[in-house]
Amino acid sequence: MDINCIKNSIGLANCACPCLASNAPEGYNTSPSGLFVADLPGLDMLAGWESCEGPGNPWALLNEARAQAAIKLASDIGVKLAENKAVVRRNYTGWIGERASNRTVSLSKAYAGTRFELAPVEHGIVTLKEIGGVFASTAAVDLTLYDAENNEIATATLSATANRFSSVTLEEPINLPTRDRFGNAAQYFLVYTVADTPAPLAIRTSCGCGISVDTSFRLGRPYPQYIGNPAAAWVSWVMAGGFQSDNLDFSELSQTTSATSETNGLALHIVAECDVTKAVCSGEYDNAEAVNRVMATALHFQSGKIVADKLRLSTSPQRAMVVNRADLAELSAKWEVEYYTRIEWLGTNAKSENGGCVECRKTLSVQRILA
Amino acid sequence: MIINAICRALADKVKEICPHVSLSGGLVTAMPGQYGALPVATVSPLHRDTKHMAPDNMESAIIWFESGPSILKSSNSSIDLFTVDIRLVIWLNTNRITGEILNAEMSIINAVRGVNFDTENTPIKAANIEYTGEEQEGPQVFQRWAFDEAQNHLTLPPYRAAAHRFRVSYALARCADPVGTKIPLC
Repeated sequence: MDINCIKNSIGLANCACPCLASNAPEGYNTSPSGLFVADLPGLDMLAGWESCEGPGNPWALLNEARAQAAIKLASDIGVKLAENKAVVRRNYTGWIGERASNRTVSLSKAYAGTRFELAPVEHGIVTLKEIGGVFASTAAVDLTLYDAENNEIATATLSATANRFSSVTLEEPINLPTRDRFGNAAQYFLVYTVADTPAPLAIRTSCGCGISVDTSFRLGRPYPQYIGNPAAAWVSWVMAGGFQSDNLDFSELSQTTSATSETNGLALHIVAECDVTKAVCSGEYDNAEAVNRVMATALHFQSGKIVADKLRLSTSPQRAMVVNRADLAELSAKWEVEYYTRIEWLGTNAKSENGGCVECRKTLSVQRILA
Repeated sequence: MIINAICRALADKVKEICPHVSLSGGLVTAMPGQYGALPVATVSPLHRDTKHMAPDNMESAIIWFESGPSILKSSNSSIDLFTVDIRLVIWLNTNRITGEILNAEMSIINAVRGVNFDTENTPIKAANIEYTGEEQEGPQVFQRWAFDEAQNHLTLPPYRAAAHRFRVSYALARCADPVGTKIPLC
């Protein structure tokens, strides 16, 4: 989830208060929406200490409240959109590629591997977590992942066992952008050097069993949307195939419209999912967008509610709580109502249709059925 | 007014020599709240700010003063002698204090005992402070105030609340220096 876009839409305090700014979190007084948590009535009482050092300090309180509010808002938006919209693309976690084959692939060029393209789903996130493979001999296979502009994205070494499926977990899962910088479907190349690698077995992206959709790699082929079989849901997200080349110029290779159905011995473990929060905030906050502004206001109220509740219910006394607990209870209840009013609005007005994950529910009228 | 001035001097002395006291309030006023009265006082050193004397885990120690009425003991043609019982309330946050907690408390008591009043520029011409003892510690220290002990645990570790009594005897001159006016501060 793109929590930062949501979280950073509001600031913590528009001054060097609640107390000294020496230990304030970075960007505490930056707010593209112009809203600050400590500006809410009742929370200005957080001011007045000589020092803000130590655990439980007001900066930590404000910062944690804003982070928790952002997570809750993202979750509530997801629920609201699921209520109001129809899911068009199923999430997928699993392997792309078979685990075994009874024949090897004969490679004739210097480099080979798997080429894959991601469906340009604006609200999609595809994460590569693990790389697997089957080779004819036991060996260490050095792999490098490039994008179509020849940028090296990651390296990994697969300890292959002869004729058996092996895998390597990446040190850090890699979030792969679904679009390149031109807004087109992003392509990636997972490469090994042929001379240093045992012969790969002829595993395919799919055996085709139980899958009635086209899994071939053909540039321009439309990605099928909702796929009933969860095991085949990756086809909505990824097109993969094999390639070989005598150079590492992928800008040229990425123009080749097709790839082999065999992936040159490699398999990919991916998590592909929709991030519906992008329907309310994606990339940079834009104050000109009504959806962004309403989202920031919702976050403002929810952050205030969490601060008020933490103050009210903490056994660790703070002046604002000791002095003002009745008012804080009333404000908390009021802010919660304000928050859910905005969540309702966002559930209806968030721009989710172009994101590639949800669409408006299709309703059939009686008149249409009868006709 | 006189008791207020005495308590401000006591609060200033505590603030001056007890660095562990982060909030040193003078004589409190009972401010009505939804659940009852809350203590409010001006704070040292300048007494320009008024604050709620509410326990707060961001503070290391809070003190304030409460008082009974002053009682005239004797008088002559130029001076009246009074006594007033002062109650010093101490709230300590041991998470923010280093060293022995008793020293933290005792240094506050000693600061109060050691105060010297300005007898040249004020009508107070002499004063003596006598420490008359400690009250039972615990929630009853805040009995007068609408704090929510059940929720806030203001008197349980790491916090400590104590009340100490002092008798202040002072001589008040029957004359006073003339007072002018000034342009109010913006």
